Amino acid sequence: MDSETPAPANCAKCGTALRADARFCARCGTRCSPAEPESLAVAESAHPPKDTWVAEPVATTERWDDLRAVAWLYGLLLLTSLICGWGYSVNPDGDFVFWTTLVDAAVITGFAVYYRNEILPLLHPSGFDGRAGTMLAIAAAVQFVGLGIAFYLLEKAGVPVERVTDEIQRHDYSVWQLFALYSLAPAVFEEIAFRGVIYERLRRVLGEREGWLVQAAFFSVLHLSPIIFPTHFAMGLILGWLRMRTRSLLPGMVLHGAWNAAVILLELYQ
Amino acid sequence: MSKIEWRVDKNTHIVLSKAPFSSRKVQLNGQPVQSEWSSKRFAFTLADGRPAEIELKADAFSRETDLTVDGKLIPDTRYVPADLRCPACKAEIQLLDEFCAKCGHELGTPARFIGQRSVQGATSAIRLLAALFAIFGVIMFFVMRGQTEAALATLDQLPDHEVLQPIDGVTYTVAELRTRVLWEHRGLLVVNLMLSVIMLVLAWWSKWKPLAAILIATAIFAAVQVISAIIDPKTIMQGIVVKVLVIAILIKGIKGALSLRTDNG
Repeated sequence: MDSETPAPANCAKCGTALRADARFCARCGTRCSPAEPESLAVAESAHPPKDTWVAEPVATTERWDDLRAVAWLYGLLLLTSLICGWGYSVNPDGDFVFWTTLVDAAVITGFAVYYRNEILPLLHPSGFDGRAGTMLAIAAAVQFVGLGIAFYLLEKAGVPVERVTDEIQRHDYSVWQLFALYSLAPAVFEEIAFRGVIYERLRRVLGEREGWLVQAAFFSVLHLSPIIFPTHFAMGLILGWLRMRTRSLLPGMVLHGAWNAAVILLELYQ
Repeated sequence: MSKIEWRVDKNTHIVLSKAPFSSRKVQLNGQPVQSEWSSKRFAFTLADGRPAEIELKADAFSRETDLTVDGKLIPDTRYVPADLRCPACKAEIQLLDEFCAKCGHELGTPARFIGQRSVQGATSAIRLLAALFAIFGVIMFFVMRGQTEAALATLDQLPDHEVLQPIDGVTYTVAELRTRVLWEHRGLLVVNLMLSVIMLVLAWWSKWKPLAAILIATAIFAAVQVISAIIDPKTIMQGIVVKVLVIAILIKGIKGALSLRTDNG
């Protein structure tokens, strides 16, 4: 031990033997010798006092279960899309969009029922108050202007985007069936799945901000069309922002439904 | 001969070795340790009296050899850098330190290195995927261009507004079909380069947010497999070993990143 700077041989708090010229106990982090003023500031900012800092005890297994639930939902939705896609290549006249929507709705309803304690409060009409209305207006403005420009540019660049109205040609869908399958159903079930079940699970594991980013990524990727990954990622962020700010799924459903309806209307009357 | 080493601290070096046709040997600082294996466990004491135990773990997916000292999991030398330094002030630290003796930075348990290792593996896999997407995109661009040029030559002989026979139940005009055909190969290039860039961004982001980055990369990888399988079911079996390996590395990375998060509270 250095004789010029005498330090206590043992930590005052936990009694562990201290190393030569140690400023902190390596076991409990207690400061044990007066540090120079300039390094003191660094030390204080690098390590908050142990007494006031309380770690949240969350078991890894519990978080792993949350992620597994997300993986199951994501995997099942991928699987129905895969079967639907194969169905089309075998029988182009089959009504696979309808069946995929139905199966996805059933899967998502199953998850929503399982996590009903989290999902039901998010669906309560009281969530749609005046403040939520303002948030919805802001989100709608951002989405319709920002994504409107993005999709306009995609079309200008000559990128062939799948037209919803092609389904009318394929299956003689009536207009109300088109709205039910492409506006109402996605609005209700995708919001429950991504902003409800998936976001709630991810939030527990990752925290609010990262959960928000990851749910938006999952939402965009599950549309299975790489060219629209960036635009749908932005959409997922906007809808996720609404969910975080309003603590309700209803404003997001309204915006999602309105956006999809606008796309259909634009195609019908172009 | 297989050999696993642990450097617990400056004065404690443990080696587990097994030569073919002989039993496992445990050495502490070069001296053989006198103790017995009871089933898959080997308990002994270190020079300073701390209890230590080596446990052999194996399941269908992995084989691990765990050393615990004082109840704390000690990662072996494959996981721990030889020159251990505090991430905050770069001062020299010991493996079992929970705080840096110089700046007081909280270091966590030694198990953090095992999680970090899996995260690094997953990050490398994401970077590899970025390279593969880019290469695949460029190759397919040139392969498909030959085919689409032939189709375009046929279409060029028809007037723009002529309506064609329905394809997959949808009718196109010649002009519409031309843009679709053009995008067959251009789209492949654009999409694959975009996926490559996304993967690169995720690999870079995983330095700060490993769990979120690896989760997104895994989701994209799975979705791309499904998209390819929808277009051509044969692609499922193409490179199946590599695909399964990538998924396994990514899932291990998720587990590692998860353990890092939990350890840090």
